[in-house]
Amino acid sequence: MKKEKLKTIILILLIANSLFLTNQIWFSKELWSHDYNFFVKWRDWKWVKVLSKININDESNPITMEHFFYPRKVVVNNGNYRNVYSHGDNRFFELNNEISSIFNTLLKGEKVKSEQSTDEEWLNTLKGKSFYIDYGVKINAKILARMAGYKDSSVLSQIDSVRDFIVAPGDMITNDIVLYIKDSERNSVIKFFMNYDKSKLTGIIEEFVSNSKPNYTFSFEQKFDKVNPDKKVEQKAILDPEILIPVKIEASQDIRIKSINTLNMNKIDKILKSFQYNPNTTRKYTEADNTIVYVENYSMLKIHPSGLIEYTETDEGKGMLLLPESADDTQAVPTVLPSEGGSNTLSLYESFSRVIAHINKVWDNNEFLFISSDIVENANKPGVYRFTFDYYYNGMPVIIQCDNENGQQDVLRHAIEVEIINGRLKSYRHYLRNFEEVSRAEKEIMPVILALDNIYKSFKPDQSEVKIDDVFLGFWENDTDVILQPRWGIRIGDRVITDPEDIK
Amino acid sequence: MYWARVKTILIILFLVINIFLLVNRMISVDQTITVRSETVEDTIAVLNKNNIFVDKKLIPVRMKSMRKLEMYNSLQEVDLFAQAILGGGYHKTFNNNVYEFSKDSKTLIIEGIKFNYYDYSPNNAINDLSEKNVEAYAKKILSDIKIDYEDMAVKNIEKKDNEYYSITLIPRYQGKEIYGCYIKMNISKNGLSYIEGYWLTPGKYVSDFLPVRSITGILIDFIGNFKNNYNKPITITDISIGFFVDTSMISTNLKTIEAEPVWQITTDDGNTYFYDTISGERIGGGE
Repeated sequence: MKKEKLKTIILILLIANSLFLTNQIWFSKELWSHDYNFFVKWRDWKWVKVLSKININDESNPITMEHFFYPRKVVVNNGNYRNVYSHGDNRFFELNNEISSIFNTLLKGEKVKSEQSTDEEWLNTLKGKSFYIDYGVKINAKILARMAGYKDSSVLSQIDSVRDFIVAPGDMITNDIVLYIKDSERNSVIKFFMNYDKSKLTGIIEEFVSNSKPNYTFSFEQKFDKVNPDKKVEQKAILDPEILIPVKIEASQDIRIKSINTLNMNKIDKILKSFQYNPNTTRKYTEADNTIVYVENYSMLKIHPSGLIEYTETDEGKGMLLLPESADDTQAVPTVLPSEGGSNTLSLYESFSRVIAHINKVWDNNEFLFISSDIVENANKPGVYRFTFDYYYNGMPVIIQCDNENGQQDVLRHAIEVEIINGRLKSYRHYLRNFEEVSRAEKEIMPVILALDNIYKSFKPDQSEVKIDDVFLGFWENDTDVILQPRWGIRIGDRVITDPEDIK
Repeated sequence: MYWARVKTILIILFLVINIFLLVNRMISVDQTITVRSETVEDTIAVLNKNNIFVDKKLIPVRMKSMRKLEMYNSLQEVDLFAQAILGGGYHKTFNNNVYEFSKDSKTLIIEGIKFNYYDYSPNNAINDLSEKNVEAYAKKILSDIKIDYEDMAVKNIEKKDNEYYSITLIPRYQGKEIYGCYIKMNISKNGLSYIEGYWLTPGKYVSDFLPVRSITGILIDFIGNFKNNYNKPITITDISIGFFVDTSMISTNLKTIEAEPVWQITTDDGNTYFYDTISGERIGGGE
């Protein structure tokens, strides 16, 4: 009986070992005598890739072009009460669909009339029943139309770029509704009249204004947008008129950076392949802080332990050629760029879409990424673009503030910074991040006026006048904290500032 | 009873399968490529047509799979090295990623993995120094200053100005040379006066066995390097396989680096060319 038990154990061990060895032979990355290993090639087949994506545990969340053309915020104005919807709100997509449908009606161009408007009329419209749609960045008008499916729409031909627009029911006489579009390049406001069900629009506005959501006022309503000599206290900080000020004290949750220890060899291999590096042949070294450095194809790729990846071309003009999303990785890399119009200059749209395709290849969990640089033509150097992206959690930006490579402390960095020249990657920086709520409990945040006062005092100790472009609630990430708390910040041009005391 | 017999048969069957798989795995892991004699001759003919000459005996016909080798920066603890070479009481400065240590007539400069040591008045007399024993003295000096390579090959010994010997050593790992790393020393009867070198210590293999590109294919690619110099005949004096570290790409705060398996081709004009054995691409050397 004892002998039989021993035989059973031996048999099980032999079966297990044969399975292990078969796996080793089948799935090793070596060459077979006649060709590459069948199972290695098999993983690269398109249909296998498609099937492998149908995986319930797969956390991958690639970003689409459409994702970048969602408004940063939609303000629903219903007279005295005003709500803000942003990505992360339950009904954001529902509201965005309604707005898109109105915008598409405009782009169709049927029975659309336009005339010049004024800043004053723009602000007055924001006081009444209306939607205020803010993209957060300037977007080339042609690209905006193209994203809505109208490649050759003539309606926006008189506009260069759009950052925000207003939809309002218009007057009581006609059935036309009114769209005010601010041309952020020319600094003018155009007013479009178009035929649309006015009662439906009013209904949507009323449906989306809720007393359960916080109420806001625009800064121009509080007269924070201009120097007011009548005030007892002299106002030194001038706010952009469309900045939203919460009526009550805001509350928000803390968030946590999810562990980036998941950057295992498989993921590193995927990152290397996305930069057209061959994991078997690329030259590699490790720096004292455990940063892994790869050198290949006239470029250098660094993967830092903090989750930052940096790509830089080492020979000018020889950086990696970004391919369109439709291109298969296994296809030969074209040496001549296919471009619109037959010139060798890659268009803004094509450049941007290739950058998006590349981001998805590098990292597949990008649901919190949004564009933070303008998507506009570079008039001085066509084909040369710099795009930046930032993480946004529930509509609030995550500001990355860390020491840079030159030893400078607390430098502000974007989540992704890309430089592209005619489709070739010049440089690429990407902080691989993923966030989650710490708990569902919300904490009260410092009143905005108090926070603004603190920021102003620390930023302008000489008490001189300053024009503030944006006031926002955001999360500040530094090198040490894993839990990020919401804090007020201001934006002046490209600079983003928070209360230095608050961040401690 | 019947089940016991089935188990015995299955054990024998799986034993055979396991042996087969094990052999198969070992073969696939350590592939050896053999080049046919005709291929070698054809390659030599093509080389000759392009004014490149090579002795058939230099071309290896059997090539084993190679693995990448991890090398450690031994100069991470600069003070330990300074202590070993200068003793205590030295003066230390650090500017633009360069360490400089000085004591009396001695100076040690360290930048990343590169170091230079000068002693302007050495006083460790070596009375019996000769070409025959300079290698032994060089290795003893290296051992004294804690540069402890297990295996080093002498690349060159030269007597200069009838005063001192210049000796160049290159580290080896399991019999294969590590190109790019070297230590060059000037030793006279007064002792050691100069050392320069790139000091990396071999660690462990860090990849699977990767098949080696046949040297005949590499030699055909090598022709491309002389396309502009067809009129100038070139003779290949050595072909060897080893590891290569591209010291030009290394940052100053290096911790480890992967040494690539390479073919080294040496020509009679004194040049060496390095070809990655995995990709077949030229990765260093040349004019």
